Amino acid sequence: METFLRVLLTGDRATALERARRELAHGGLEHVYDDLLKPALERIGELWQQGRLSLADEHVATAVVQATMTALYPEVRWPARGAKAVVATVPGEEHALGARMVSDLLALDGWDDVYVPCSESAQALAARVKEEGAVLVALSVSLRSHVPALRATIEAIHRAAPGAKILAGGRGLEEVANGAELGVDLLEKEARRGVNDARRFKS
Amino acid sequence: MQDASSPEELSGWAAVLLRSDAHELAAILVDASQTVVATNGAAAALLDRNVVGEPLLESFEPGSRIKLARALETGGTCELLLRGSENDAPRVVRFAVLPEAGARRVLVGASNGQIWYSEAQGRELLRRNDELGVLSRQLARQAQELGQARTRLEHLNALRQQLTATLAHDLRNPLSAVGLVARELGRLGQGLPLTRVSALARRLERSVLRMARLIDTVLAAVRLEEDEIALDRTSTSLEDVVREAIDALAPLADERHVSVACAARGDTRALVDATWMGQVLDNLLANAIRHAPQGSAVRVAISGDEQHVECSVSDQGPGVPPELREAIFDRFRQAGPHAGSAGLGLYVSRGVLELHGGRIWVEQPETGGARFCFEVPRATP
Repeated sequence: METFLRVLLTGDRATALERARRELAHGGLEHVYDDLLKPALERIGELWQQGRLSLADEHVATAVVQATMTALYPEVRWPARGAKAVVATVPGEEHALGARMVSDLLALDGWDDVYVPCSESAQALAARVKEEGAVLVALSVSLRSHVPALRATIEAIHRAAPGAKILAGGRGLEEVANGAELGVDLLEKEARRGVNDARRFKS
Repeated sequence: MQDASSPEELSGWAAVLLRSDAHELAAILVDASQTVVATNGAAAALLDRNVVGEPLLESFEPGSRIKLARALETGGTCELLLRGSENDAPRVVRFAVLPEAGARRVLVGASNGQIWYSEAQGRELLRRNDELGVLSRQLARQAQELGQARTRLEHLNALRQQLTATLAHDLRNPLSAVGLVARELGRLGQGLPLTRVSALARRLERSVLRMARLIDTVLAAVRLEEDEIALDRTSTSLEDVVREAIDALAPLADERHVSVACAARGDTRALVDATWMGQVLDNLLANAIRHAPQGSAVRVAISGDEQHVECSVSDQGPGVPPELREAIFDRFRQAGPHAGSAGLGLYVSRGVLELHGGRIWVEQPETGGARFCFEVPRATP
């Protein structure tokens, strides 16, 4: 893990991709995200919070992760598109990588996903959900301070697209006890479990 | 300045940087053997200690040393990890390596983000990276979808070729029968006895029936393959469907001198599409009649339980060898692509039954021959 962290922090894209390819062959994209990229990004976030890394370091690492994901896409076998899902971050959220991973995993599970990072407002996002005719909306929250924005977004979606099921997740929701408290249908800390649980909304 | 030799002979700006302890840029002077000769205060703070007199490479993580050695040789900038204690988090430093006289080098740098970094530009870059990633995935997915569509088209094309071959092969016999009848009628029409005319009319009817069945089967195979079969399911008496199929095939049974009998037990209503079930029974009965020895009987039995209605069609023909009992339902499996529609009928039957949520199988009764059985969901009363 520490080795991979160093690979990310020095901007070593070639080594990062080589390692990710090995993990992809070993356990698929889910495994690459859950067991390699996500833990490394979380660790970088912690080190940044402790003041041990600069924002630039964090951005370099994020860019390497983005490039790695982008390079892996053609190597993944994508299934046929099924029901529509909108995957978004709440307005004001700048960490979109988690949402993108969820978007990829939903696509891999047969959803026709629409990825909407960094929406302008809760209303704009809710209007998009309605326009897309989404069966599912997955909302990602990386910081606790974005929970009020999440609540506003959920309310807006309930008003604009009352039929859409909502899955909420991300590190910012670690202290939320259950989905009912937020008014969502599913609350999952782990992307993998969220994707599994959302299957029941497909039909 | 931490000093082991005088920086007086350095170029002006390097000397200024090395002398200034107030500047936030770290400056390190190394000699030709890559030993640190002098540093300024910012460098000592960055490296957490005085490294003058030490080999420069020792201040960095082993993974960064090759990169540093290369930069020392060629100049330019590099991003390096500082060596830390066991529990210390890695720290990234960027250096510009600049040449000085006497194969010496000055490293000018700062920890990442201290100077050159623009947060807004960084975020913009990440946003664009993200967009690029999304586009890349869309392209990857679309490329795969196109590949799948192409495979499907190739598959359909191959199917069309097979079906054309089937039609050409199977239409030949009934058409030549029609031709023979036409020739006899043309040659001897006026003087033919009535019994002969009636026999010729029956032969024509059988040929037309064979051609119509063939066309129905081929069309069904195409619709099945293209997922175009929409079932209209209603509560239907399977016994009625069987008896209609027996009536329709009477000319074929007469020709082969085969008798066909149906025995139904209990309620035979099932939730099925009557037209498509007619085609299934037509296929199974025609198959049985074709394989039954002359003078033998084909028997249809219908029974059921609360969940399903089961139907079996038995003949006294040669039966199906155990190794073919699964494969016989594959398209053209029975006798290859040029063998005609014989294999197609069973393939269509299985497809139609599976669409109904039913299944089909073949077994060999103790008395010999083949028994094709299928079951479909019972109609809710």
